[in-house]
This record gives sequence, structure tokens and C-alpha cells, in this order.
Amino acid sequence: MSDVFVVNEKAYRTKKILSNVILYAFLVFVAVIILIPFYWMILTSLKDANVMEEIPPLLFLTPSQWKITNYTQLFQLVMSGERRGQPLFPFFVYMKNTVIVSLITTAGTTITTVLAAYAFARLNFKGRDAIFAILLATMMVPGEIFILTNFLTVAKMGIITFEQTFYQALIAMTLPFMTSVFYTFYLRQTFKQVPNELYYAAKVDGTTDFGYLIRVMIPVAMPTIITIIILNSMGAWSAYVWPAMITMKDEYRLVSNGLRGAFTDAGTGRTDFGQQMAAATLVTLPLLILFFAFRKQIMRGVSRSGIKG
Amino acid sequence: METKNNWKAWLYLAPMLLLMSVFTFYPLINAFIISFYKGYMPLRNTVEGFTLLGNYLVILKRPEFWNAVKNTFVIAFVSVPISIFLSLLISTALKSIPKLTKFFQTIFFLPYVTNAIAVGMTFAVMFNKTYGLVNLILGWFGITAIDWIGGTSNWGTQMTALLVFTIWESLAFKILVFTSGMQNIDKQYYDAAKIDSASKWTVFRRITVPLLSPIILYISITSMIGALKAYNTVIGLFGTKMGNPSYSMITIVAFVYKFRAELASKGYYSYAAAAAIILFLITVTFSLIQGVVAKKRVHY
Amino acid sequence: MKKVLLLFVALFTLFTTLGCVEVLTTEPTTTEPTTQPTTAPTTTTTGITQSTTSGTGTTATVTTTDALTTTTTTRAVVYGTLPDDEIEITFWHIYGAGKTALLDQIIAEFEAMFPNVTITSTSQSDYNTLREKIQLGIAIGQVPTMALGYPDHFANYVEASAAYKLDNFINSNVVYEVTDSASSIFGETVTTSLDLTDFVESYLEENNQYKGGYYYSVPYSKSTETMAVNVNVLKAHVAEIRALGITISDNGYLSHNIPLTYTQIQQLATILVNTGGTNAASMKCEYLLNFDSSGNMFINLSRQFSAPYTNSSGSILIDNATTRSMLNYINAMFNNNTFVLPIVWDQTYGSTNFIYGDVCMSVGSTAGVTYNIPAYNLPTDLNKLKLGNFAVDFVQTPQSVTANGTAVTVSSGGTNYNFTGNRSSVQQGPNIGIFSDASSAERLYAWMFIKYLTSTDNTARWAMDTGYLPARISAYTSEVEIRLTGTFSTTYYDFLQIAQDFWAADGSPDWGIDDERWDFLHKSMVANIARNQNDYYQYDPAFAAGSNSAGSATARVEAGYCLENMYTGAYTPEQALNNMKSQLIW
Repeated sequence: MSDVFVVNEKAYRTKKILSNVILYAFLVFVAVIILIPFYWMILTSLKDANVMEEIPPLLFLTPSQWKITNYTQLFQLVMSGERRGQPLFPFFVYMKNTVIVSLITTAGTTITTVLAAYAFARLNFKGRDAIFAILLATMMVPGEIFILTNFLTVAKMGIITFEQTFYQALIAMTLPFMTSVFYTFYLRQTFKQVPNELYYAAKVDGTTDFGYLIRVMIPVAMPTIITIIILNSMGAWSAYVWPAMITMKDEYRLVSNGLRGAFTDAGTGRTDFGQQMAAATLVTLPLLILFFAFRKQIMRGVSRSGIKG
Repeated sequence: METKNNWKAWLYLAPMLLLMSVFTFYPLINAFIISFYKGYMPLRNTVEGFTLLGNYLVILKRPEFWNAVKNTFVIAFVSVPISIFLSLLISTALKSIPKLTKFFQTIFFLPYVTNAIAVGMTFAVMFNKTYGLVNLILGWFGITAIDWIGGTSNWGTQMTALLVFTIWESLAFKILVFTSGMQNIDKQYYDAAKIDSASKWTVFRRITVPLLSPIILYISITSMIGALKAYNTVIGLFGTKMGNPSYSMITIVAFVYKFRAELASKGYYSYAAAAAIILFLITVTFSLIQGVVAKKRVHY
Repeated sequence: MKKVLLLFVALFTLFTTLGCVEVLTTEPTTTEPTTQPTTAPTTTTTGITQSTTSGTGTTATVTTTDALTTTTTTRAVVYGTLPDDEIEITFWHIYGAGKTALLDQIIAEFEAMFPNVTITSTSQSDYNTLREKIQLGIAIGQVPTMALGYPDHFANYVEASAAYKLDNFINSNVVYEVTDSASSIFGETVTTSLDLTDFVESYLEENNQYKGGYYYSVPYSKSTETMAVNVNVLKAHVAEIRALGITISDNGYLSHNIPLTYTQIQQLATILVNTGGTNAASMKCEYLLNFDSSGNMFINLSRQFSAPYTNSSGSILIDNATTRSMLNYINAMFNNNTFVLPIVWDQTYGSTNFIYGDVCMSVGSTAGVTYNIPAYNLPTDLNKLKLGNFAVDFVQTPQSVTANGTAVTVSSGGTNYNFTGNRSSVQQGPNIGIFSDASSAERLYAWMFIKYLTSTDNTARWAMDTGYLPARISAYTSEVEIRLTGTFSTTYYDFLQIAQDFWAADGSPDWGIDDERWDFLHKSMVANIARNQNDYYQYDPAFAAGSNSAGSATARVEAGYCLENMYTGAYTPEQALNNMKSQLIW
């Protein structure tokens, strides 16, 4: 501690408390603003249809006004049709599909990203910067332009037919998304922060490039890699357009499919926001759990006091 | 020590490049080619004729396109710097508080998991003229209610609401990345600064920012690219009408998608492709500028 | 840089030679005739014989009863054999899970009639996804056997040559005897032909407006717009309203056969509108008439005022003096609070504010009836109901023509807007069609299913269950009983009778408190009004986008925006029209 250098200890402490108060106040203010939509989502999910129509919209509901049926109705079984015997919102089926798609795309993306980022950050090869620039350039085109051509490509593989199997649907949903320039760029920046000296030292020891990647780079950049894994797996929750296009059977669909169109009445065009938000809240829960589970890994910094020998 | 031309690097790149050639390069080149043809019918894969720049001229002649460019630029050049600054500030604040760090980190992560439809709805309510939260708070300071996004709103108020919404949405990811990045900064530097009794601001300017600069560059470029592609925020806040009067808040990507929606009809896909290529060129230009500026300031 | 250019050129040649882009120099021409027949084909014409038949030769004139539609016809027929292989039909729609009970039941009944056929119905969530998936399916050759869709969708399918021409079936003289002993109609006959005379005429016109005048779809689930009125407000001003020459009962019920004219609407505005805001003491509203759909408002008023809008060939005709005049009139009505749009309250629909008493009348879809009834939508704070919990009546939407056909003159602020009047009412809702890609056996059974789905009894069932309108006129007198609740079953005729009895008793019928008829009163009212508007339904032309003009779906959306932009004052009528034109024509 640097007590020796502090002239007026009391003034120092007051200043510290004051700055802490300001910091906390600021953070609380930001937190409240961030929380509002989340609160609104849950509030809406508890609203009765009548209450939903009210102008101005109710900002607060007493527990007696909570309509839990928005949630329970989601689990009611459908009596007829292609979804006979399943709940209205097949939470578990859609969730299972989403989790599987998420696992596959995240595994694929992590592998391709780590390898590619390493090449761009550490290795020297002709055309490295040119290729990297081209990859960056591909991020600059809006996504929907790709959909038509990719759809035709995937169809040529014969996996978009009325007899589509689950595996075929899975391939169609995951294959185009096994790599990401966005995350490769991020990881490259992190890799580049690892000092050159470490690399040279390892080379002197006779470590191969690949060995260096496995033994040094990945552990050092683990927080970033975990972040990428978490963010990437969440992408499957919001993916909507592509899965909607290529799934031929309802039981292959993902959660976002279930959320968007399913609660709009065909005739009136009105959406049942209460049920939709209830479904949305249910869908959010696993994501929160995922985040809590891995939060320590992300937030854990690598405490280094000196270069690791 | 480092080989000048490490051909093995291509092996590392192979998986990524292979996937991208099928699912990214091929569609892009296809779209690029289509933009030079007239009367393309996607359902039959036929075209009517080669027109080179015909489609581009049609796009550039439309006043709505230039309105879209204006809106997109405002969104990009205002929201990106502000959100980067805010997220740096928040991340630093997070690092400086003694307790409750984990609690706040979790809360700041919530926008990422909140359903996008819910977010759009919430902001539409918050900015409502009569019962919105924003006007309520302004009322505490004696400011009369402003019509942000309703029937009597003007471009200024609508754009302000859109910018606030855009900044809000982009904070979660930035805070996450910056916080993670700050953890990586060696504590040594901070200890040294403390010994020199450097002020917080100096620490921020001379240590945090430079050591974080590779990450800041990443955020800066990707945010700019993302902001230039703004679309979901506009639809989320204004619906498909995109403002009052209609389409006054249109962005370049929204403009592209308007064409793409008619994809079954002759020629519309070419227009969409041409508009997308124009956006691409704009984005490349600004990214290059950023890259050049960055060369001097980014330390690895 | 040079290398990149070389790479590009190489890839370009590679892709074009691989056939990714096929370059044609001229557009393939179609050989379809462009004239459109004006009347629906009748069953007495000899049609094209069905290709799946192994005809045993034309027999003499025979009287057959079709088991699917229970209609009887006498004509020369050819006997055919029903394909007996296992057939699977895919049917794409947009009804969410839990809302398909009746559809599934009809499917089950059909499958019992034809045990070798399975119908798989899949929901595609919403119309946009449905249309896009079918379009993509057309591109890769994976389309369903049949689907429902709006006329705009079918315009696209027809243009891509993917929809199947149904005239082949409609006019066919082939009949089949059901020989499968497992069938529920074993031994009965089914005909291929369909008697179109029973269908509502304008529904038919909507379905054969396409190139060549052929039918590419059949009307199925239609709706229209009606006008909800605040009875309590009307009742408080009965004397003044009578003084204007408007028929009104003592309890505030207007005529249900004769629509109000715009002139009368303007006169009502002078009595019922209070510029300061809704006033409970004087029973006046802030606005007189709300229009839920600004798109429908533009299109319908254009027809009523004979202002050209579009046509089935895809021409955009809005740039004319009559349309300008119409817009000026509408703008004047906006300015004096006679007409209002829901955006004034930042809403999508006017129903909530109608309930709150902000507006006295509201034009809206027949599908959303119950949202307009205060008793079913009580807010937590009852004070929000400025005019209390009032009674609601439904009447026809306003017209520009009097009962005997004379065009009314509308005027505002000293300007006379002289229009040649036309009666017109909105017609909405999906139709159902078959795709060419299916095998001929699949198409045949799909057609049989369509016939069954749109039979008199089933269309009546459908109408009562969903609140849509029957596609056939005979549904109004059908004898089939539909169960509406656990204890209440009724025929469509009796269902319509509910509102008629109510009106005949001037709003005070002698029904007990628990009488189920109260629960279906408003739906019955709306069904009656829709039926009264039958004579002058007009369809909105459907066409795909051309090379320099937009499609009908976009035209409708822009028409709505035009009125909204005018209402908010962002554009003058002239600017709004020019803006709309620039969106629709390149």
C-alpha cells in the first residue's frame, strides 16, 4: 500500500468513497436502463388479453393481476393436425433442435476460427494481409443477399425435399454456419497481443507451430475463446430466416420459428403478445443458465506477474 | 526464426476458406454478376440481357437511395463513437468498483438474451408521446412532451430515438469484449501507475486504451460495418413503414431488402444486388480509412 | 491488384460456363390468349376430358348426385376409374397449431371417403413465409400439392407457370364411382366438375383474373369490412338524425339494408362530433369514423368514386384528376375530424379507442368483431370508457351512391367533389389452389378435396367456426348443424336469424340472461351485413411486379402509407400521391 505517500489520509478516504458512490450510481443507472426491456418482456407475458389492449399500457401488475395461463396454455396439448399430441409451444422439441444446431455450429466455428486466427496472427505467408482484407470485406455485405444462392446450393445436395430427415435438416441448418470472420478477427487481435518473445523462446525449445498453438496460445486466449463459444451458441436462438426456409417439417424447427409467426391470428392479423412473450421468456432461461455457468471463465483474467516462463 | 513463407499456414486456413468459398464467396460473386444483368428471374434462372451499369444507375437515380445513405451515415458516425466511448467507460467503472462486479456484469449481458421483438416493443412504448418513459423523465425537468416517433414527429426526433435504441443494443457485446480484454492487461502496469500516483484519467489514457487498442480497433471496425448495415433496429422501432412519413428512416440495407422482397419478379434481385454492392463499396472505403488511421495507434 | 482482376475474370467465365447464369437474349413468349371471359363457365359446356380416365365412352344424359358437394346435375358424362394407388397430398396453410380443429376434421372425413389418400397439412406460420417457401420450392422443384394464398401470391405462381389451371377440372364431364369398399361413400358417385353458379360472383372473378382468364384458385375463406357503431350515441341523437332523413329506430339502430352515404356521414359529423374531445354529457365523440385499414380505404374509395387505381395487367393508374380530387376530399374529412386513422392514437387498430369512446364509428374487418365490443374488453380502469359500456351495432360501410343508384355529391369547405358513384365493398381472404408439379393422380384428389372443402355444408361450418364468410350462396340456407359451444348447435340460417330477431325487436329481444344467442349476436350481425354487401363486393386486382412497376401487394401497402402520410400532415395530398407513384413506378 502506498500509505507513506498519502498526505491527508482522511481526505483520501472521503475522495475514494465519493468516487465509489459516483461509480455505483452510474452503474445502477445504466443497469436500470438495460433492464427495462427485460422487465417489459416478463411483464407482458403476465398480461391478460384485455389488459394488453389498454391505452396507456400498464407499467405494473399486482400479483393478483398476473395471468399465468399465458404460460400454462403453451403446454396444452394440441388435439389434431400434424402436431397432434404435442404441446402448443413444443418447447422441448424446438429447444432440443436449437441446442443440437448450436453445439454443432459452435464446435465447427471454434475450430475453424482458432486455426485461422492463429494463421493470421502468428504465421507469415504470402498474401496474408490480402486474404485477411478480403475476408473482412465479406462482412460488409448484408446477409439476406446470400440466402437465395445458398438455398439453391443446399437444395442441390438433395436435402430439401418433402421427405427431409432430421439429419438432412441438421446439415442444411449448420453447414453454412461453421465459420465466422467476425470471431476470427476478434481472436486474431487477442492472439496478436501475446508477446513475440514467447514465440521465439518456444521455437528455440523446438516447439512446432501447432504445439505452440495448443500449449501457449489457446490457454492464454481462453477467456476470448470462451466468449466466442458463448456468443456463438446464442446465435442459434435468434436465427430465424434461414431455418424457416430450409426446414420442411415442424419438428425440425428452432425456437425463433416458434416465436415469430406462431402467435399471430391468421384472420385478424393480431398477435397474442402475452403468449408470445411467455414463450420468449421460457426460451431465455436456458441462455441465462448457460451464461451463469461460463461466466467465471470469461471474467477470470489471467493474472500474470511477469512473463510466464 | 519466423519463416518468411510458411506454406503450412494454408493448412490452418483450409477449413475456413473451403466453407467460405461455397457459402460466402460463391453467393457474393453470383450476386455481383447478377447485378450486371437485366431482368433476372431467380425462379427460372434466366436473364434478359447484359446491362453493365444499368441497374446501378437506376439505384443511384432514386432520391430514396440517397435518403437511405444519409440516414445510414448518421447512424454509423454518431452511434459508433458514442457506444464505444460509453462501453469503455462502463467497463472501466466495472473494473474499479470493489464489490458487486459479477452482479453488474450479468445485468449488462441481458440485452443479448432478451427477445428482439420485446426490445422493439419496449422502446416504442418508451418513446411514446403521451405515456412514454422518456417524456415522463423529461417532464421532471420541466421539458414539454416531445413526439419522438408518432404522427407529428420529425426526422430529428425519430433519428434521436433510433440512435438511442441502436446504442442501447450495441452496448452488451462491447462491454463484454472490453471487460474481457481489460482482464488481460497485466496488473504490473497499473501497480506502476499507482506508485507514480497517476490520476485515473491518465491511467485510462496512457495505459488502458493503448493496451486495449487491438481490441478497440476490432470493435471499431466491426461496429462501423454493423452500423452501416443497420436494418433490424429500424424495423424494430418503426415497423416496415420505417418512419413518418413512410420510409423517412430507411437505411441502405432496408432499401436493398425492399427489392429483395419482390424476389420472384423479374429484375428485382438485380436491383437488390446492385444496391448491396454499392453499400459494399462504401463500407470498404471507410474500413480502409479506419485501417490507415489505426496503423499508427494500435500497439500489439 | 492485377491478380485480383485476373481472378475475377477467371471466376466469371467459370461460373457462366457452369450454367449458374443462363443468358437469354429474348424473353420467352407465352401463347396464352389475353382475352378474359366475363362469365363463369357453366356445367353444360362439354369440357376437356380428364387424362386419368380410361373412359368407357360417352353415355347418354345421366342424373348424378355428387357425393362431395351433394349437388345433382343432369348431363352427358364419361365414366372414369379413380386411381387406387397410395397418394399423399401436401397442403400448406398458415393456421397455427391449436386452431386447426375443424380443418383436421374435414381432412379426416375426406380421408375416410378416399382411404388411399393421405393429406398432410403443414402450417408455415405466416403468409410471407408461405409465399417465399413456395417460391423457393418452385425454383428447386419441391412444391406442395396444394396451398392457400392471396391473389397476389397466385399472380406470382401463375407468372412462374407453377399453378395448375383448374378449368380442366371445372368443366370436365368425367364422373367416378367409388369402388373402394373401405370408403365411407362406397357405391356413390363423385363428379369432377364444379358448378360455379352457386359461388359469390365477385369471389369467382377474383380467382380467374389471371392471364388467359383461367381459374387458378377457388374461393375458400373470405372476409370483408363492416362498420361498428356506438348505439348509445345514436340513441341520444335520434331526433336530430331523423331530421336528416336517415332511417333510425327509437333505440338507435340504423338500417341494415341501406348503407349510409358519405353525404349522410358528413351530416352525422355535424351532430355527433365534439371538437373539444369526447363529451359524455352531450354524448359526442372526438372523431366520427375510424378506418382500420388505410390501404383498404384508399382502394375502396377509389372504386366508389370511380378513380382509377390498378388493373390485372399490372398498370398503375393512380396519376389522374379523380384520384387527386378524392385525396383532397379525404384530406378535408381528416381535417374536420370526420375521418380518422388509428395512427392518431399510435395504434394499429382503432378498436380500443372506439371502446373508449374517442370515435363513434369504426370500419374494420369482419374477422376482428369482438375487439369492438366494450363488454368483452373492459379495461382495469373503467373510467377509460368515456362513454360507458355501450351497445354496439354493425352496419354496411358507407357508399357514394344512394339506395336508388344516384351518385351523391360530397362537398367540404365550399368545394364540390363531383364523382360518378359506384357501390363497392372490400373483399379479402385467401383462396386455395393446386400446383402443376404434382402428379395427375395427386392433382385429381387435391381437386376432390377442394370441392369437399368448399361444399355448401363445409363452407357453412367453416364460416360459423372461424367467423369468415361462406364462399357459396347456398350456405345461407344449408341444413347442416354446427356445434358452436358445448350446448349450442345451430344451422347457418338460424345463426343469421339471431341478429335479425334482435333488430326486429329493436335491441330488446325477450331472450333470457343465459341464452346462448347473446354470445353470438355480434358475429351474427356481421355475417348479415357481409351478406347484404354481397351484391357489390369488388376484388382488388392481383399482379406480380413488372420490370418497372411494383406488384399489387406493394401497391396496397403504399396506398395505405399515402393516406397515413396525408393524415399526419407530413405530405400534402399532391405530395402524398406523387410519393406513392414514385414508389410504384420506376
